[in-house]
Amino acid sequence: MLEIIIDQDKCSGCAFCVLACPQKVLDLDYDTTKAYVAEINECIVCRNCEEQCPKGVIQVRLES
Amino acid sequence: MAQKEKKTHVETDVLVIGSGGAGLRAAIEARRYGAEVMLVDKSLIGVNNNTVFAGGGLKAALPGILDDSMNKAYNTPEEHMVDTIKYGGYLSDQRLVEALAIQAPARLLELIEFGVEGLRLRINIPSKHFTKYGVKLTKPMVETCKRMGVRMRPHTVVYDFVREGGTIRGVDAFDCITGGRVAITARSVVVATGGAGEIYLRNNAVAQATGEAYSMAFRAGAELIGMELVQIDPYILAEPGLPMWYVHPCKARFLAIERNAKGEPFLNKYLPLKGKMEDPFPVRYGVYPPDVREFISRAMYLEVMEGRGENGAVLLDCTKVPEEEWQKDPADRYAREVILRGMDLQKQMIHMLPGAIHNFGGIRINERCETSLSGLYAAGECSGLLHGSGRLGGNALSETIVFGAISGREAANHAASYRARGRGAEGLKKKPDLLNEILKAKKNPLSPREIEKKVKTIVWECAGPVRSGDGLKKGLRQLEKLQEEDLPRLQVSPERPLHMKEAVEAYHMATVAEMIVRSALMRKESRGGGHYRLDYKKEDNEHWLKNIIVRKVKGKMELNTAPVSFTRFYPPQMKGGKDA
Repeated sequence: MLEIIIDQDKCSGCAFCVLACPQKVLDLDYDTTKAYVAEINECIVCRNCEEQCPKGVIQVRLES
Repeated sequence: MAQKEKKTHVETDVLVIGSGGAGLRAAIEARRYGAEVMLVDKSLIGVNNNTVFAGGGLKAALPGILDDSMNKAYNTPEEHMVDTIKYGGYLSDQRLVEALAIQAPARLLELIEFGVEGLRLRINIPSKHFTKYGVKLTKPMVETCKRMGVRMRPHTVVYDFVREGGTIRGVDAFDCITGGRVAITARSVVVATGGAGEIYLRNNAVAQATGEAYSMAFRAGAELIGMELVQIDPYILAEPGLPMWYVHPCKARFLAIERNAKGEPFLNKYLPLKGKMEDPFPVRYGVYPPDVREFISRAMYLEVMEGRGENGAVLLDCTKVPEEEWQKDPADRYAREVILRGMDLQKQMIHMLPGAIHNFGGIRINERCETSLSGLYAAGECSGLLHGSGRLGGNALSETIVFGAISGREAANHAASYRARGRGAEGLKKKPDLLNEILKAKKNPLSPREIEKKVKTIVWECAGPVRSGDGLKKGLRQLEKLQEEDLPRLQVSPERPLHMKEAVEAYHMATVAEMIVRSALMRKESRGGGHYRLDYKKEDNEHWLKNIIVRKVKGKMELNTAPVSFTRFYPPQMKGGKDA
């Protein structure tokens, strides 16, 4: 089971995670100005989003 | 409404576009030669580029230092040169190959100075990031750039070159987070933007690799070379629910067998069997998969085309691979657990279908990385034509550091001579701004993603692993229709800068697609790994030992052929030269 958890309350909408993702897994919702998971299947668990989030509010979780 | 021209103006000696291996190396070298350097990337710096996600190693003649179980080691640069040229089907510019082979050893050793550890950068070095081996290369170079005072400008999308006559004077850009416009004046510009893998519906490139620099260079009047030559890798996942990503043919999977929908092994129809079907791949066929990847791709694609695929893919059968084989290699375990999400490979076969991984062609350069425009340099995958029509594994990363360094040095020297002549950059006559055109309100607007999807489908279907004259002509008609009817409808909101970025990418992708398709249609032969035509299955040295050059003439795309730059090595049948 793979999930990416973005703490919506703490997300500042900076879009660094969107730019850091090599697979367009994440996108920015311009209405809420929050990042969201658009395409989880494409995730390769590179953790770029986790590493680049200035607020540290993204978690990539992979459980077998 | 467009926020009218709230533009920031910045100036630098050398502007480097792209922060993958070539861009980072160029920035370091330009600083070494005393230039003021600005490094821009449309993503973050050094984070999301194909170097970071590269899986292989670096190729260089470093006897006793660099050797590798998967690859041949070279004792001399000449051996490296000969193999590179042979893999490239003799289409490589040999001046570039010579520069690569001679300079790669020193450039590679020098990486240690930048803090790069583990020269081989290969999968057997334990790392928690098996999908990001290349971080070992980029991260220390980013740190070096910072220490050397390279000015960095992330999330900056360059969308057009500013030109005065045949000289590049800077670029037009915008910040894809704030939406603010930036005009960057530069005495030299190094394009290090990588390839255009993303122009193929199926690919293993990062989503950023949309190739707009090819189109920008074309618009500015630069020559492009070998755009038809594209590397296609076989082992890209086509499994529903899993990412379209590369699965390395490493040890456990050497025991897997490629099967069609009927369950029959099919590769032996295309690659002669040298051992038994139970043997690991290199024994079974007498070669390592990376050395024949384009041929495996073709075989897979033809099986599917001829109706023997399952859900449009072939199957990789790992059911007989013993559990202990998976445990031997951490990269194998990682692929199974992470990329394949713990799929039960004892019971299920993996759907695979090829995808684009490398553009051999690009902005035409000489051995000093000079393009046909003064002040414009190119390095790395965006340049051409080092690899010819096939790429020796490990040469892509070596290319980034060798030509990154050359372009940085040459750009710095050019900037210095420019300064000495006291040329300012003000008062340039401007053509209509491309971004303003995109932001204008349209009737029946189309989103960038709609256009991008169309382009990617057309290119994959007509200029993928298997091509034909009829297919390419149809693709070209579809592209022309798209340019006439769809592209003028492209529209995004200036309030949504990330969508502006996608719009610029989609706009330029249409031009890059046309270059690839027209060039592929012109080359009436098949050659090496980069170009296979069903209607011209054979290599034709009599007519096609040539390069195809694309450039803009009077607003139109013009294609010509040019002789290959042979310096030392000629194909065996060619007279007057030394055989490789």
